[in-house]
Amino acid sequence: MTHYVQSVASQQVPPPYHFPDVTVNAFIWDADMAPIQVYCDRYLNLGDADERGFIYRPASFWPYGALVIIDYPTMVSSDPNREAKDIQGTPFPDRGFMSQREAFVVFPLLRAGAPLDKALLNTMVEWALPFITVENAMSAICGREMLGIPKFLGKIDICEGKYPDSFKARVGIPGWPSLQPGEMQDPDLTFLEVETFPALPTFRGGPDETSLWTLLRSGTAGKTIGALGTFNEFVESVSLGLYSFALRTVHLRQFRDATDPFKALYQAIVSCRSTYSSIHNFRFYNENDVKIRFNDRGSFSQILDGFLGARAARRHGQGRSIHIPGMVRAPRVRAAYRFNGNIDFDHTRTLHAFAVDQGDGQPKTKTSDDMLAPWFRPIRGFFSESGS
Amino acid sequence: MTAFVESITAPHVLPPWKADGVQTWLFGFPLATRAVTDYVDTFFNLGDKDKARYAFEAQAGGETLGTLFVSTYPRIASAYSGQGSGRGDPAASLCVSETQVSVLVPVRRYLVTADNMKLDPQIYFFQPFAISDNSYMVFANREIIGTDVMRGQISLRNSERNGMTVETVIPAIRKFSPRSKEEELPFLRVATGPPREQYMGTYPGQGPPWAVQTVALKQFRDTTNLKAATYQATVTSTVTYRNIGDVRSYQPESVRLEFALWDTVKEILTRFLDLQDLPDHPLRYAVGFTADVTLDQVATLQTFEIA
Repeated sequence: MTHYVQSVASQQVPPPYHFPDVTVNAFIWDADMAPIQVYCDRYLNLGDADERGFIYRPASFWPYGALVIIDYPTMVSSDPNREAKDIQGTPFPDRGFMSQREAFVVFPLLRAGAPLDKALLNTMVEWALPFITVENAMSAICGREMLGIPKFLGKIDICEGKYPDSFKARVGIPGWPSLQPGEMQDPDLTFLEVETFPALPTFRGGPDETSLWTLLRSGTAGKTIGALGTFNEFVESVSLGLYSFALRTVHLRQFRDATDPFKALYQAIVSCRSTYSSIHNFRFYNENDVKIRFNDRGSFSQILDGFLGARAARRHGQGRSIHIPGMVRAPRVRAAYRFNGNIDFDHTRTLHAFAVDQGDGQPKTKTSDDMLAPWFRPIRGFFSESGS
Repeated sequence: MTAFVESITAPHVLPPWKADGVQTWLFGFPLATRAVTDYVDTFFNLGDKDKARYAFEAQAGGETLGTLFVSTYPRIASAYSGQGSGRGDPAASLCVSETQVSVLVPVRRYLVTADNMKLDPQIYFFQPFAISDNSYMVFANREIIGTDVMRGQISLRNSERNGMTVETVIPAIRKFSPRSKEEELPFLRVATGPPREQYMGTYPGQGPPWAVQTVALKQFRDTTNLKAATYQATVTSTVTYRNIGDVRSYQPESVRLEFALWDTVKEILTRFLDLQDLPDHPLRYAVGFTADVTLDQVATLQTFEIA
């Protein structure tokens, strides 16, 4: 094994991590399948399908995307073996902790094994993050360099809105107001704004008869949702990971060549797991009163095309959110809620390393594959000739 | 050749970079050679010594002169013109601005022959730390060149009457402990007196360019085993200063160079600076100038074998 040389100037803290008592605000909207398929083909379905042995597609059985904004009061390394240490030998969990806010867009993908013999063993649901912004520089660096998560470093303001118990957020990232040659970057350009009315039940805002919340307004239903957090952990264990509320995200991790940055030195699909537990304080917002506004100007238009696609653009003038054609995109929100809980971030794996042609007569880099679905991993030995 | 999949959400300002009207200040200070030797052995003399194509050594003598660079780039444009870019004209590029504070330390690089002879010594500079206030430049430096740049806040004031003051703030921990929270804390403060009048602007504006060759360890972790590296290489680049003008010199004794010694800062400094010497650390020179700057000739010097 070739050891990574720990930096002196910016010590990367390797996973796993524990994030206790986070506050999650989530907003679900109708997803357009077309941009998601483009995302899959551009970033995940590289090369020949038979050679790589899998195909990523939009999960059409769950045609929704989500904006998730999380407040992490504590982020700490949770390496149980205390093997990860800084340059002076202190285990990372003993150095201290960080806090930050995070905003991301997520949608489900179905990874289908291909050809047919891999269809059963390699098929599972994973999640893609076409946009993610964090506030903490080390979080951005660790996510980008260790896992290939394309994190922006930005500013995330969270507060109550006009009314008590409501939610308001603004996400600013570096961007260019226009794509004119010579345009200067604005270091804190508003990318999105979200505002809700108070959590339900409330006398404020529009009528809630059409809200998803009406299905769950009884006290028993509310407690059931809280209990689901614990139940999910149990279900995931007994189902060997086949049925899980843990978020397994996938990313294309790649490094540029220094001499020609257009060339890739390394390309792999990497996965990691975020498990939610101890969920409590689950509250719905009236989705009819939620306003999400994405800034559709300059360099941000391309980002929005990546997950909203043309369908959202056509909705200008139709949605219930505030909109300024040509400047703002406002997806139609289907559900909105918030909760508190704990998140554990672990199981970082290279699922598939692609063979990279380095040019100059050099051989292609080696491929590797670790795509087996979690349910099959514990019993794979029974079906392997070598027993391994 | 496999193309990098360009991503709108993976922002990179591709080198080469070009920036005009860059204000730069240099502060020279002595470093213990043993600390430099330790650094190059840890970060550059990697792998099997019998297979090494290059060897890095500290400068001869007991002392090496390090330089603290403070630079403000009002407009950085990418001049990348490679395949697929459709670009190459910096004037057509989207631009960023940046202020950067970094330390550069000179080392000798030798070409190592099959007979283990060391030939062709050349001077390269490594950067044990750098702070930038622009995240795009942080990502590009780290992920393409391998330079260990941190994101921080930098405030800079400059006047002919009062001299230059720069203050940096980085995410840091005061005292390492399980209960300590990372905060935005002061890291480095430099304050000069007014520039010496007899040196102001005397350097000929059209003088010869001054070039600095840098070297960095570019490396990435293995995702499954995060203690292991999946890629390691030394990468070089050249920073060239042209049209140098508006030169100012400062009395070294008038310059105050102060580090805030939180645990995070101590950890950074101990690798290349003897903290015992810090309270009365003597500066050897302090100058400032304006120049047009390019960073180019980015190349992989040696890729290390991954076992």
